[in-house]
Amino acid sequence: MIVYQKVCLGPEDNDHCTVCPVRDKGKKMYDLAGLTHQVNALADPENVELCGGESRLDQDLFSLISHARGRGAKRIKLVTSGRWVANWDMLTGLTEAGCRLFEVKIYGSRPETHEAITGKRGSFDQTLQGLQNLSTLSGSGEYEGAIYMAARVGVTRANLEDIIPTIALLTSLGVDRIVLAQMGVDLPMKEAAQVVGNAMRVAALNRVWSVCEGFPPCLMKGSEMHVTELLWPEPSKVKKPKGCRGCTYVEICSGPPKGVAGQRAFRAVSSSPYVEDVRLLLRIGSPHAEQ
Amino acid sequence: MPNNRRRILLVSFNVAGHDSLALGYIKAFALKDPTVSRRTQIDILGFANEEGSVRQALYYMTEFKPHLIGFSCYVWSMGTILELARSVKQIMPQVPIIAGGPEVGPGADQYLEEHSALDVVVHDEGEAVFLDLIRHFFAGKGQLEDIAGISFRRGQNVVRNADRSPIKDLDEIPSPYLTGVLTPRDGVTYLQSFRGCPFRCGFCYEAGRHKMLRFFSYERVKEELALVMGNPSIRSFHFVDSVFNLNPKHLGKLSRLIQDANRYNTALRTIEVFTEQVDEETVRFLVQAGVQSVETGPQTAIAETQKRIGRYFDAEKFSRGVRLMQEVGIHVWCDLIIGLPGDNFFRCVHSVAFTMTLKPAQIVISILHVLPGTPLFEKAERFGLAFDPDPPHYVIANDSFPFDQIYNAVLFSSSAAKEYNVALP
Repeated sequence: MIVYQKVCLGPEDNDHCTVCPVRDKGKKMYDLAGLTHQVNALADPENVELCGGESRLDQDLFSLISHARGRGAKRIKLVTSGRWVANWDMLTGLTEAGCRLFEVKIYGSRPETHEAITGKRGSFDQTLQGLQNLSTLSGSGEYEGAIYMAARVGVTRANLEDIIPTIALLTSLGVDRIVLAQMGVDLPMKEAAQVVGNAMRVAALNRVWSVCEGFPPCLMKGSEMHVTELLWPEPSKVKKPKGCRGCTYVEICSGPPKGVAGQRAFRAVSSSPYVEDVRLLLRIGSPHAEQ
Repeated sequence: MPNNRRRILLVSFNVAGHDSLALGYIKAFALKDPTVSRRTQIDILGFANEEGSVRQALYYMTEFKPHLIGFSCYVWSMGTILELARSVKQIMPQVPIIAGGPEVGPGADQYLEEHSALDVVVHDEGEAVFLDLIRHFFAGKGQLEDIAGISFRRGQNVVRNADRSPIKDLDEIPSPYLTGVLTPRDGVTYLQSFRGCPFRCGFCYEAGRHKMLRFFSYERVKEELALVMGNPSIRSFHFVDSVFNLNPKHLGKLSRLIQDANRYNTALRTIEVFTEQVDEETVRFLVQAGVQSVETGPQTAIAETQKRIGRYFDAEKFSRGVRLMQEVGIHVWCDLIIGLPGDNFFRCVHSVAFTMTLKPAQIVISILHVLPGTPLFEKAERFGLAFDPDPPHYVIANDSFPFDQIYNAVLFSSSAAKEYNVALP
């Protein structure tokens, strides 16, 4: 699978997300020189992921993308809240500079759910506008098939009831992939796994590929084909709860996220017809290596 | 436009950006006959296989007023051809409609039984058969029963004649380019140095055909190359040989011919290669031939599946072959098929992951078509293969790959391949 080398555009998040792991308001943004240095330091810059704080870089982002292209980047992916690409001129500037892959983070199908997590009023409209712009550009004659548009849906306790409507919204926009990522330590895992499983079925019914992240295979019975940890397995030595002993997937499952609610929901999978095939995938090599 | 000669239309519906070489052969062979050449006008019509083309073709036919129509039938065009044939039969019931090609040949009788618009279906190679049919319909020569290699409608019944042996000496078929039947055009000029395939891949219709390889003479290929490559407006062309690197001797000879004819730095694009067989010498020949891009498997990276479908696969040799070609700047396109017996969803993911590690220029994903006449079609029961009996014969399930997994594998692979192929040069 495609392994992206990450370049973090800045330690600050765009909004005030309650679940963002890089939230840190005390630190300064990187400047262009620092970022180009990061790009120069990449061992294999073929696939580059730019994440975090892109809207504060402004025009420097174009320069950074051009620089990465000059260093041999073939796929440049921007992980974004969607606010930058809500501006049509900025979006076309990005694509012309050489950024053709986008992963837009969204938390709900309506402002109340999305903004309860981003902590910023008006952010939903901007994210939605960004997605709509990408959809329009992707379908335009000039860029047809040349834009890859993914969506990352953070699954938290606060937006659980809005997950399926969010998937319905995203499928209507023609995204190429949806990632449902477990977020927040207070997420009721068993209940969330059921919702996520149903959400992925909704995506499949609408012919959109979806995966979940951070939901151990034991919780995703019947949805194993969509479990990132099985599709891109890597050896895991994380200490697991007692209930995981003897699990078929113990070698590759990263276990329940530390401190997450509902640990008792995890039960060892005694057998699976996919074990050997998943091990075969493991031999291909881990895609999670990052620089 | 209409004149006193008997008018024959040869029709194909092509995938965008392609043309029909087969109809060029049919016409060139027919025109060898002096009487046919003098008394008939044969036109080749190629339409894009897209919405609206049926009515466009029908309009052309009402203008041209043909006395005989031949269709070149492939899996991607059969539905369109049947739709057109039904309409033609209603407004020109007296015009015989002949269908040939890999989609109809293996199931000739069934096609005639199920589609009353078709009058004759050619079992296999069409050149000699079609000439006999022209003579029959226009000169009253012989009975349809006497023409080997066809099935035809007689009243309510379908009559199946004996099969016809393929033409042994391919040079008996005049070159469509050298005779002016086809005009070489940039990007859509197809040459061929041999017919047949040494491999027996279960999904490929070539595997169900003649085991014997038949070659056009090098002299004839040389003349064709001189014509095509002597034209500065032809920037690239194709060879449609099933395996371009058939063996070192043939490849060496062919590449020298191409090199000698290459006056304007013309590129050879999208040839099929057997990658496990690619070594340093092969690569030198490919460079000599001006090969710009190749298309190859692995179709699946699961050795067990490859064996089941009659293919040879060696992951290490395959990877090495891809790397050697890439090192000299040849663009390698890797093909994967979803739905092969022996695969399942996770194995399909493995194949995509394996292929990505090779860093090909493009990854091309397709769903298995269980084509009539192929080993998979013939042995469908053994593989538990369920598929649509109508073209394009998409697989529904098999003994290792249930439908829900195939459906999800298509979603996954389409998304993964798009993400991969979005790459900028």
